[in-house]
Amino acid sequence: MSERLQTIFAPLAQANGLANEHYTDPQVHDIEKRALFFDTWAGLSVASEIPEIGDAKPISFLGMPLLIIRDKAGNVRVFQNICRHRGMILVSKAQRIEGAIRCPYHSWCYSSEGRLITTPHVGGPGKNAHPEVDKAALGLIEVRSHIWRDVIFINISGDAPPFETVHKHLIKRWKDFDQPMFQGGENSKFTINVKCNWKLAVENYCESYHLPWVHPGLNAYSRLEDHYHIEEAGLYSGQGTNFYRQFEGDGGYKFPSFNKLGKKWGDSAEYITVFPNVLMACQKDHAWSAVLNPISNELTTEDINIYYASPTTNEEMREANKKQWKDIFIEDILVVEGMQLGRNCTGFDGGRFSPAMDGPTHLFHSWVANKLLNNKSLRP
Amino acid sequence: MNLTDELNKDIIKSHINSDSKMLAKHYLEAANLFKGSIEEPFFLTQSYVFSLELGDLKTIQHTFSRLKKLNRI
Repeated sequence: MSERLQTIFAPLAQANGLANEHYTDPQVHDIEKRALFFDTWAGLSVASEIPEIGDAKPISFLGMPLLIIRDKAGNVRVFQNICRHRGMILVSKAQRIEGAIRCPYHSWCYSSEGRLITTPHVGGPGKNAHPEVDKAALGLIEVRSHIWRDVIFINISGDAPPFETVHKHLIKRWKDFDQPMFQGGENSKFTINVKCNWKLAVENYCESYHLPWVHPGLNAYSRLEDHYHIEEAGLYSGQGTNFYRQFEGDGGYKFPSFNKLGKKWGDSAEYITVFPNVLMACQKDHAWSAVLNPISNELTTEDINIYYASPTTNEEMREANKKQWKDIFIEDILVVEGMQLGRNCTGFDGGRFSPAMDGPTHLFHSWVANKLLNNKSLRP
Repeated sequence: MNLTDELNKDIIKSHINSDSKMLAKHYLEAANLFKGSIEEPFFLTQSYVFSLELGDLKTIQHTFSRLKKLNRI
């Protein structure tokens, strides 16, 4: 694998993309799980999914059962969703935890902060303690997490530098949008399942090259030449446009803009993939995130949430805006699933990039290759 | 001593319905029925666990203090 990966580091005009095995081979998918997701800050879900204290939601992420919960103090926490006794799944459906999290097997109980509260009958019938069972050492296994723009990022290995350090460039780039934003409720979220490797969804999102062909509706107001590449090696890539047309409803209704945005954002919008798996957009009147959950090497779930500058926007407009974005995501299904099928052709060599248009995709491939080659757990 | 048929049925029904509130209540009734016997801490434990799940502070405190007195927690 490592020899093939080296070819990715060639200059854009000569480089090949990632080989087929990175999309079709379950074993490579397992390797990439550790190298690309465990040691970095990966997107898991959004905090607005658990708005109230005690709200809990189980999520299977890369095959690992996790639990997100809003604890008694209102903080979002992420735990491995298992009891420390026999590894039983603790919470199997989204719910409001009023008191303790009780394991359905032997009823060991945990607080929403992860503390092991009681171990019933652990010392025999009616004896709820045992000198060899140290409750203080048997709390839920917490996964390091950080919330940025409502997205819950997790670092499973626990040893990545702080999120704010890793992503200081992007935080600075979008500092104008560092202000309250409001998830627009049920009519501002949708989920799409695509039969492709998660990386194809990232690659498709990074570049504007496909817009005139796959999203012809954009041609009328968002020309290809209005777009620019966004490339920050090792961190993120994407595209921006210098001509953002604000969504407008009947009667001229527009969503209110975010406060005190810099002049740039009057006409611009940016669409960035925060590596490895979070697609984000900033526009003057709304933003969104799409968290990619790799279910397998050839199946990905995309959870999209849309955000507004005000908690009280027009409901019909939100619904219309959701439809607009959902239609665009659906238009992309044809190409990402087509590329996945194409990677079963033995003659495909990773592909030749457009030297002018594929810089952001090449940058993502370089990030993948670099992570794989430098992952300490994968070195012989 | 045995659980009364009625209480036993209530407990089983509450388990089937996953009704933590009724489980905490019925197990406490059972603990009271068996007060002073070897079974008391068992039933107190059951009630304590379901009251914890429920967040029923009053029953939590009651069952916890009784278990504590019996040196079972």
